[in-house]
Amino acid sequence: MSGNNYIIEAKGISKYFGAVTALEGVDFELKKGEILGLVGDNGAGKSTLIKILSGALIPNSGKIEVYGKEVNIHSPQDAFKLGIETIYQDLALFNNLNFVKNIFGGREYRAKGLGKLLYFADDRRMKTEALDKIKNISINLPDLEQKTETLSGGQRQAVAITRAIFWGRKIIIMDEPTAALGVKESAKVLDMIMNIKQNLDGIIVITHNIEHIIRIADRVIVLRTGKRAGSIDFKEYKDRSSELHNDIVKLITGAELIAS
Amino acid sequence: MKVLKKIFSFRETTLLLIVLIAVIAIGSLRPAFFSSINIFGILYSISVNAIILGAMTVLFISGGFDMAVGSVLGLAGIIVALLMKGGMSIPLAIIITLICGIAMGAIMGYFISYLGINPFIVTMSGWFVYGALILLVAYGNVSGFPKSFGLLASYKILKVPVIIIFAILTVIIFEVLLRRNMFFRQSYYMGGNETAAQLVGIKVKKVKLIFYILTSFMAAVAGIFLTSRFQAAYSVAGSENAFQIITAVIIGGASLKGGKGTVLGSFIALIFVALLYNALVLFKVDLYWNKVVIGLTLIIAVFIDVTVERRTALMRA
Repeated sequence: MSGNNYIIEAKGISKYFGAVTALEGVDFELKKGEILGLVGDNGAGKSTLIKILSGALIPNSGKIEVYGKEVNIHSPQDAFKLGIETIYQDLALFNNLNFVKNIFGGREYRAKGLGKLLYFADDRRMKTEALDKIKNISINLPDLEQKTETLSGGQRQAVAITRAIFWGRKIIIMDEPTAALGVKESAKVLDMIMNIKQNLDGIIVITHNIEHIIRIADRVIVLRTGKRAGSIDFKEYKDRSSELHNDIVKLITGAELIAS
Repeated sequence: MKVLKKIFSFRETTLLLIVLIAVIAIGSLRPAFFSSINIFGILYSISVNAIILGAMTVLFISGGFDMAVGSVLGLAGIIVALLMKGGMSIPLAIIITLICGIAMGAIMGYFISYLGINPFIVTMSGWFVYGALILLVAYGNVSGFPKSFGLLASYKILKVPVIIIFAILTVIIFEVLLRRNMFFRQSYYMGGNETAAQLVGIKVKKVKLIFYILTSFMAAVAGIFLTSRFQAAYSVAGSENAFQIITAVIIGGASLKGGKGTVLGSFIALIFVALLYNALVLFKVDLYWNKVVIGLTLIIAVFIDVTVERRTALMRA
């Protein structure tokens, strides 16, 4: 698989739920360094495809390569190990705990000396490292001692993203990151996604919002009724964003089929 | 001002204040409150519950719940008494009783964490089944075992009975472990978001099982102490302990939803609950009204818990 710069490449992915076909022979690729939009109408198969990539669902057929190696993703842990983290709308955060605890949940550093014998955690070291990381990622968070449940939707996503990057995830999948947010908050999250691009190998963003995806993405893949309707590279549309918008809508709705 | 505000933002501070006010109020209205017999009575009752309290708090924080501790306590008290009466040496009787406690917790914990049955249902059944076992093996009371066993609870170090020292040590140890120890801290993650806890690699089922075993184990320890203190095991022992402990844990700041609470908060609340029980006795409140008051306290505590939860939920929305 040399020659291309695909970090994820899926071929012929099909998924059936009983008699219902959710995905049929879908090809998918994520290129190194890009923000990829995954768009489509309700029921187009976006969520199913993402769940397959993140290990929540196992496809009926098809193969997946990550960094050029064929892999089996049978559980979220498998995806984790491959460096893929999915950030869902309901965010797998610990709302009852603060920023540092959220970063280190389940992976706390063990203290040294006497504390090591008592299996104590090294709170000071975890705090310093978390603060260090947040400086590099250029994400703004208010009070770090605050419980995440009191943070805004955008800030909560920032916590989830920081955690993913802290633990060395290289590919982040974001499911409808702006769906529940107001205009201002959405803008912040979109900025944040562009900012973290340099820390990652690739980002997949699933969304309904075409304006948002045009603002941040390099390319979109469009799904329609469980099949791949097409892919659009934004480079070809420099300064022609209304045309780009129209072409995406056409792919989503299938209007070009009727036209031609 | 800021420091003061910070201090009072801790639930523990408010609780401590309430306890002080209660002591002054009860003491000034009923001077008998300060008699050494009354004070030691309160301390003894706090001690038995405090032994179980830390484990119960951990369990609550992890999102669990155990209604059966009273029956486990009672049954353990009977088992240790029967074993010694049958001629077994004291240390061996204690060890076997503790193993029984572990087994009682393991059975309930297995149903809850591995079979996924609701903890309310499982521990309520545990409460019934272990409670029935008490009456099956010994109706009334069991006594007639070596006097020296009584020393376990009543031996005094610097004039303080061992049971009180042991209880305070238990509270301190659990408080420190819950704050610093990586194993116990997992409870906050599990109670906060169980799916996320699993995703970050916490072995949720196993840890849950261990927390249930630990709670029953501590209940068995408390049962052994109680039998030692009374020099006899009573089949009614433990009938109200679960209620008192759960009330204290909730008033102390833990939530039925899990994810929060501290052992210190539970402990101060436990003192409050003990004072309340004592006040009802000192004011000679009718036994049945007594239970009404205690029931209402728990409901009010849960009501406050739910209201606070709702407010934070609204704040987020």
